[in-house]
Amino acid sequence: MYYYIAFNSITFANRIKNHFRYDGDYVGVMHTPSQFALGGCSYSVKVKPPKLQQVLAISDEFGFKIKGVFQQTKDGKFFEVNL
Amino acid sequence: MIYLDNAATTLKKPYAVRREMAECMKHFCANSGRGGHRLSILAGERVYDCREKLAKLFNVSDPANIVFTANTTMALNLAIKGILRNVTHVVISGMEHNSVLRTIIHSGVSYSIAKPDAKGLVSAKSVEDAIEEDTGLITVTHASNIVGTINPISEIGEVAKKHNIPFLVDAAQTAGVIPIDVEWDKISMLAFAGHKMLYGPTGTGGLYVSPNIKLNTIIEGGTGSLSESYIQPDFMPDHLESGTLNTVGIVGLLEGVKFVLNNTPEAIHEKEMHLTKKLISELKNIQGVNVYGAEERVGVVGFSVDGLDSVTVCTKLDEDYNIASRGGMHCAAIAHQSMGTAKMGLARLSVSYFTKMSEIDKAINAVSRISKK
Repeated sequence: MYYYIAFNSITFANRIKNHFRYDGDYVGVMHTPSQFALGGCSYSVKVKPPKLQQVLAISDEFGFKIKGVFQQTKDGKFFEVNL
Repeated sequence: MIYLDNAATTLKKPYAVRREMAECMKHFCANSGRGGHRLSILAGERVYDCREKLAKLFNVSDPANIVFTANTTMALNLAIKGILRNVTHVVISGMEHNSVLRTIIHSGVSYSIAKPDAKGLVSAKSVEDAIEEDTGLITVTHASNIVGTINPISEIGEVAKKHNIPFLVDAAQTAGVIPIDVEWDKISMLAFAGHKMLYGPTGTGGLYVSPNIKLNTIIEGGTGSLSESYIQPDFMPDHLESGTLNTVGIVGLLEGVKFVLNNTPEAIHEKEMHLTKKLISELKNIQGVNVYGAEERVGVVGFSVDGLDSVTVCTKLDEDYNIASRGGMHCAAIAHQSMGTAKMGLARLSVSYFTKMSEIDKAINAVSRISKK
């Protein structure tokens, strides 16, 4: 199970990804599903649950606006997570 | 051919530049930030990596404040036109390239010229003396593209900071070969070429914009972000970076910047100066040859041969000696005016990290023979 943290641009998502590149934990970047990108374009950082708080903390430090945090069910559907 | 026109663009690139560009063209030259498939994501990663490496090179804290452009001219246009909507007076140096001068004149603002000395050096005092009450921008080239003289940008940055005026630096000739620290040097905007001393391919360049500066856009469009909005994003780099990026070029530039970081600008400059000092001292020994520029310089050597037009000198170097150089005005009318070389122009020889001493010896011998004919 993964968390997906949506950002405004791919630059922000890649900065987060690169920040954790030597951590040993998986951090990926993916296109944000339209339902969470308000129909537009956005990129999300994909992490396992233990990494979520670290990503949120560093996003805050970088001053990045988070568009939303969501999860994917086993049947592929996404739902927003209220933190 | 002996290539000594590196101030225009470096011809020889590190092997990794060519290798990774070929790899990109073969396997992942997709559209960065324009989709979710793996190739687009991979292209996006490389583009970001390049932004990050450039940020490291220039001590930029947030890589998002680096915008990719096609060249330095485009970067200077983004900076100047983006800031001038609220500005009525600009200070430029007397050693600027046409990409600054023409853009300022086209914008219709008034401007004052900070005059250089006889060797092309623009002092901080000269810049400060040119400031007026309504000056809203100071633009200075880091090193002259015609005589190679390095300007004291850190001191000029102090002057800009003292007067609270944004400071734009044209680093076309210095990015990659002279250390640049945007914080230490108090630089508000830094325009640089990717294809010269950063050893990327032609079609690459960039602009750093300080978080304190909000530029107006001169190009709007697709950014791969906030696509639902009719309004251009206000965050960087998307605010200033519309349209498909030059992915393959940026992948090459990434390897060029890695090469510079691994070797360090200081060491690259030292190597180039070893060649340049030999070139200058030998040229000065040739009767009828006049060498321009100061001691503190990059590997750009402007010279004239008595009685010969600069283009004639360079044509002879090309046709008779198989040496690539550049004569004429070098797209820097005001700089030639300042140096008193506007009528005949200058011949220019410029080295790179890959220039060999044997090539310098051949160039010296060629100029000596040309001067005697």
